[in-house]
Amino acid sequence: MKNVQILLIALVSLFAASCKTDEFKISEISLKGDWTVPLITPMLKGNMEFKDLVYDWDDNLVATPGEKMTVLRYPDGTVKSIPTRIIFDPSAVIDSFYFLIKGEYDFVEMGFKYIVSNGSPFPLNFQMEFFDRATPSVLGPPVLPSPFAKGDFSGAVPNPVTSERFVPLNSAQIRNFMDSDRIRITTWYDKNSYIDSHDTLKSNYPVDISVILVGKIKADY
Amino acid sequence: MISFAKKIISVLVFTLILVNQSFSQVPGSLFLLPDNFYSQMLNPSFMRHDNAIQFSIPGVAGFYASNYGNFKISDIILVDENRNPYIDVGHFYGKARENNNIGQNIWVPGFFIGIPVHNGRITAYYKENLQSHVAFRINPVDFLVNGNVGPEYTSFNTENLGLTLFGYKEFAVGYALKYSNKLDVGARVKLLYSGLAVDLKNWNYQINTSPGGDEVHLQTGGSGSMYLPVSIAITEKGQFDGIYNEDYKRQYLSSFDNPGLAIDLGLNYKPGPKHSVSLALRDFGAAWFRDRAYNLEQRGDLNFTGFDITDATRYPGRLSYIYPWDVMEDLKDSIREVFLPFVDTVSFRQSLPFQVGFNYRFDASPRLTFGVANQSVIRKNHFQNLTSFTVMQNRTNFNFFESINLYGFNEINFGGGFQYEGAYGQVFMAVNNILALYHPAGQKTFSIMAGGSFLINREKVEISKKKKTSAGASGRKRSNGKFLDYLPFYKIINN
Repeated sequence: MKNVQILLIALVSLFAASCKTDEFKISEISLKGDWTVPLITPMLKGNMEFKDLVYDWDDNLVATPGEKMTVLRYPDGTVKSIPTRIIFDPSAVIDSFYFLIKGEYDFVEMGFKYIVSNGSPFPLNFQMEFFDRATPSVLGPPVLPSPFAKGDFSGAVPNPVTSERFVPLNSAQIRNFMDSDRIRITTWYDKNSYIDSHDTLKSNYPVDISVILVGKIKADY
Repeated sequence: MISFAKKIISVLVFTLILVNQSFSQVPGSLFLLPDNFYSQMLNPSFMRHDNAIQFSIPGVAGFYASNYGNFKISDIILVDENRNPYIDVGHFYGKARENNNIGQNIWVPGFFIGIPVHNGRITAYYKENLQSHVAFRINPVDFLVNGNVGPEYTSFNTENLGLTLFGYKEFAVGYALKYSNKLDVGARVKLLYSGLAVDLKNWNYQINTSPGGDEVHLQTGGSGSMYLPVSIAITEKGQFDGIYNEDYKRQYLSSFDNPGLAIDLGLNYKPGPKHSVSLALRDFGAAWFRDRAYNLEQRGDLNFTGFDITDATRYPGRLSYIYPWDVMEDLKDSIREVFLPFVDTVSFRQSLPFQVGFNYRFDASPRLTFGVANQSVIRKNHFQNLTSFTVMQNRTNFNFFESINLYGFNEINFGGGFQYEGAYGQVFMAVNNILALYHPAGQKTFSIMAGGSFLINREKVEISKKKKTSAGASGRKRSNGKFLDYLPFYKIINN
């Protein structure tokens, strides 16, 4: 009987102990610190034309008297004369584009992969800057890959050339990206000899852009 | 009789061979205690054979809880050196099988009463039940570890995800009849009121990534049914968009929609003074859902190539200019709609998992009992089985039992428990996995039952306290049957 008493006390004690051994609150659970998930996802895409990346056409365009001009010819035959300089000066063609990446996660490594098919006669520069969500007028450090190759104009018919770039982000850029919900896109073309021998350019050289986000995501839970 | 026992054991062994999936049923040892009020809920032919009225109330009636599956909670949730819990997906990835499942059952009796009547006994009880079961393949875990980067991970499919949730109230009335000196039979009718029912079949999510990563194809599929006691939000396109912020707990407990019906049958046969065999057929029934009952269907399909900035550039004359905010909102809605199932009001039936409990009892002596219990559950296309071998020591007020529990041939656990019955009450605890008392998270399967009831009008015979005891050969006092000095000695009068 005494042994039975001891056994009974032991059973109750074991049960009470389990409340301690495996005790935890749901709210206390976190995720393992070094757990990350490699992810690749498209972020931006655009089937643009040459003229789309020349200038922010919402702004007034004023030509200085006597400056060199270039003619843009449209598919319907109409033309528009523009200062040549604006083709090669940076323009914020999209000054505020909302995107949604909010969530309970962080990027521990991150970069942008660019796939650009450029049918224009000039190398393209494509710069992204992210607005800080808390201070909307503040832009973070720019993300700028090297220029994307110009189209192949060696034959009778010009052909777009596709080039890829990968730009890893540093910690400040990653932090800026995570704290942002708007992007500014600034573009410009690099000047080359083609402009010296051509006063007229087609407005609709195709420029297809795809920006892909590659990184390792960590849940911030 | 011995050959009969051999036949029984042979059938049980054969049944074990068929099973390759574990399931935690109630502790099988309780089938050796027909006067226990939980075992009376398990077999309607079980009854007390005295004139005591047995009843229990919320809080005292106790609970039953079980966890079953083919992985442990501690395979996913670990603790660090400061005992802070954390989820380790990588650790689980090393432990997970191709097919994984985990489930829980919980009972909470609200009240119980058993009243003796002519040649039998009437019992009635109210019980809250909650069942959950999740089944998934290793694929989602694979994605959480490897993501979708690299040529070998560009195509992801969860394949079949299954989720079952079923919560209901059970109001039962039963009658156990002493048919003869050898046979007790019983039947019970149960009225069911559901508080929650979700059944997702073949739910699946697919993510196919192009080699360059510039295109991700999202697809969802699967069907199911759902009943919730709260109002749900439905989009214009007829998709489930969440529940309204209501007091869900109160709604669940006060829900008496969608009644159902189930019956239990049982018998307890004593072919000889030392042998008895019992059989229980339980939960033959279903709940019918008409109010707030929905059919669910996932059929999302989206090719995601990123936010389209084409029409966001400002160019005079571009009629297709779209404000960037609208572009983002439209795409966000499109992605969200992939994962929202379509709902359709419908009537459906949710069957209870049919259960068969078989028990063989051998009373080797008044103080020693052996038993073999087999519990089978037929749940959709699955057959689940648990066999328990029990040894029970019978003292005057106490019964102690130890058991070996077999889940097919895959898992073996050691269980035990006790029951104390005094003049005014009964208390018991039974587990089918002793280790779970200390470290439940480290066990794949375990169940625990515990509770108490009150007894009124229990007949007793008090033996004179002047009776002398004689010393045995060892010189120690032989027990006169008293367990503790301050408890009187009771002898049960068997009718």
